[in-house]
Amino acid sequence: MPRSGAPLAGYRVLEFTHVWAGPLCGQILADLGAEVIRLESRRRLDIHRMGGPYPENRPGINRSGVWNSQNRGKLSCTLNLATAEGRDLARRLVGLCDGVIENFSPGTLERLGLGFDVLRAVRSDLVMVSLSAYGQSGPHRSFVGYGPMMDAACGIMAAADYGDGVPRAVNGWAADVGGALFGAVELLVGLLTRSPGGARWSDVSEYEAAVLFQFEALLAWAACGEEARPSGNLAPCGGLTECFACAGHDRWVAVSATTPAHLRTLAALTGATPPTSPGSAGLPPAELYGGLIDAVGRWTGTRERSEVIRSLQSLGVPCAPVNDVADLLEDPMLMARKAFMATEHPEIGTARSYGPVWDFLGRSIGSPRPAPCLGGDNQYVFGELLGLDGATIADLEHRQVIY
Amino acid sequence: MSRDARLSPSRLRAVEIASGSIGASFCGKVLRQLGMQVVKVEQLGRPDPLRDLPPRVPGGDATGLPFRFLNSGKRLVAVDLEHPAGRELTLRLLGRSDVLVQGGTSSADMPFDRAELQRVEPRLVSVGISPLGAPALHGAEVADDFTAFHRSGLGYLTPRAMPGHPTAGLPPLKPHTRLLEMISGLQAVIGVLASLVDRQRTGIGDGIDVAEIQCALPLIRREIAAYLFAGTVATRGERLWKVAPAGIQRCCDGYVFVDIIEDEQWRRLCTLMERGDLLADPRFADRDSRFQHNEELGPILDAWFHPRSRHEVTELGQRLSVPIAPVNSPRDLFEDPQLLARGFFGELVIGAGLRLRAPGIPVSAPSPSAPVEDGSMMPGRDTVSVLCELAEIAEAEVRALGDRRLVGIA
Repeated sequence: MPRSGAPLAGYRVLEFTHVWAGPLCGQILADLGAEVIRLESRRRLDIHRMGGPYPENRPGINRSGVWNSQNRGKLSCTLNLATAEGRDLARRLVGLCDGVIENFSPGTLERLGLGFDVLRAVRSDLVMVSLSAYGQSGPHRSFVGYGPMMDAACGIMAAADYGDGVPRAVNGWAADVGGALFGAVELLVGLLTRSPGGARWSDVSEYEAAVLFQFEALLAWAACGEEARPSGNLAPCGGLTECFACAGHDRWVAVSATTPAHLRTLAALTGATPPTSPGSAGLPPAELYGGLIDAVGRWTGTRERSEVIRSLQSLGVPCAPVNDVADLLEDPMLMARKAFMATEHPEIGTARSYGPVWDFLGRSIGSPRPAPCLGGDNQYVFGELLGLDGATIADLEHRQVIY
Repeated sequence: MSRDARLSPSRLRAVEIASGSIGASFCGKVLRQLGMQVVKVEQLGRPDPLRDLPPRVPGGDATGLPFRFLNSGKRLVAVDLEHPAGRELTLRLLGRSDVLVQGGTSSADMPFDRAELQRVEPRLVSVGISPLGAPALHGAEVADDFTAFHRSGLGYLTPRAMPGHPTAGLPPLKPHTRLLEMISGLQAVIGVLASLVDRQRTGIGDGIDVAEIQCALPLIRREIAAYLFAGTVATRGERLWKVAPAGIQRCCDGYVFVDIIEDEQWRRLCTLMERGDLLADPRFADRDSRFQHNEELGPILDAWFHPRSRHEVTELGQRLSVPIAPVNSPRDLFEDPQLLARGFFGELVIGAGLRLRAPGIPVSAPSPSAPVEDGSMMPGRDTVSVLCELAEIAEAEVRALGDRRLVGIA
């Protein structure tokens, strides 16, 4: 009989987060079934609550497509941490949580009286994860760090180069996502190993996570004192890995011919002379691929992408469409995996987004709830969890403590 | 909730079968760094092709450094997984383990069926990583990390155009990084750990499947939302987040990246450049107008940035909380004061006095681990000790299996 229920059901995590890395970390835990409560405030709304894109182009703090996709699965409560009562309620709430995730600037929670040393006194087995751009210590701990800048700092931009020496912008993914994933790992290890009195705090540096992704280039420098000279898509270890334009506007196919047999196949198909490795059975060096690249480009340029892919796949050469986002939503592999999901959101109706990334075989882990409206779970959090009565909650709202 | 006495990570064991898979090898590496014992099983006579990835240590053995890095601290076993007796042996090892990590591009790379394993070893947590996911492993479609990156949506959006550096006509680009492979490996670690947490209550482990192309989706949530809610198909040429100035600036010794998002940061940048006059310029009054006049900002910033060094620009800028970072190369990273102060770099201890600096983990965690000396990375280096200690087979029997070419003993 198939199992049901999510692996982290029954665990509760509180988020003091903003922008992306922290919210993504919380979302991963929510996708795995934890009850994740996002603590927000009207005093300073998350930048993504106001950034759109908005359905029907109608702005609203509960309507942003980006915010709703990276926060689906969570609850939201509002608390004004500029007030002593607000901070006190936050501490009490931590006492009811297994984990805390935060990604404010280093030192912010300490200044609010919500640092690890205070919170561990409230909850002796607390698992706390702090995410920050550069880490909680070191000379650059207070440096401002946004995703695109971190791509520059961590070395990925230097590795994204068409061979003209100009570093290219790579979308700001590495540091935020790397940090969020390592944050989730730390939180889970904390849950796995925790014991009374064994509260644990992990300081995750998003920058270091992104640097780690460059391990090959770093090892090359450490071993040989050589810096790789990237040349577009061509892999430094040889083979023809390249994107080729097909018929139509901005339609590309990615081809990966990384064995001598694949190279011969491509050459035979496109009427080129296969590059050969001088004096060895291995792959020829990158500078010998020019003729084959031109021939493949001529061959794909007049053909529909689907036809190119059919031909190459039938010959066993790895290739794939370079999907744009519209293609992606119809990609048969992603559809087979049910990679996209829909929720019913109270303000925007049916909201589609990506779903949990794991397939738990033979187990239904449930479908995450829609992203919360601002403070949408105040009654649950302050009433049911903290046990405040209706009059007290109304008073705290009136005085902008619950705010 | 009952507590399982074995649940300190150092008492957890993982078996890894990851031929050719950076993602699965990295998953095993992270589990090792968390303190688990990790046994890497390679097919006898067909060692992991990642062993051939360059670079190698000049004057060192034939094993490439990426393989050493990904597999440091793991125990290396060689078994004939294609022979029933070899499979049986590996199953015996799995019966005494907590986690199985498999990865590759075909079903041959991932010899154990997870649904089948759940029947025979219900406590085992088993994860598989592949470019397109498990169902595709049995189809005819061929894929690898390169095609997965481009299929995932990441390639179509890379690189993003910057002012002065248009992308028209240039092909989608996969940077020379293992971003998607390692993100997939981390998602596999996360699935494994969640299942282990749950196993504390239920005693049952999960079979988990991870597809690289799916792991890219959270990265492009902005583009997915723009398409679903506004019908916009993002391209390399058009920025969805309209902020300026945002892009590279040339300095006298390379580039920095400037990323002005808030008006207050623009005011501070003007202070930094001693260009208070720009604050009154209506072309640059707010985020939208600055974005519209992006090209005109280029020469203005250039005049201040170009004569200065990356270090000077970054330090002066960050002192005023202006978002600036240098475009770093590997050499710069090894000298970066922040990484050095935090002790990020560890060592890859190769043996015979050979040590290399290598990236560590991005967490200042309660229990950093000391570097281990790997020495030889020969396939089957630890076959005898692993099968004796973990699979509880007598040494003479293991040696006999070696004679029968069912296991490899280095």
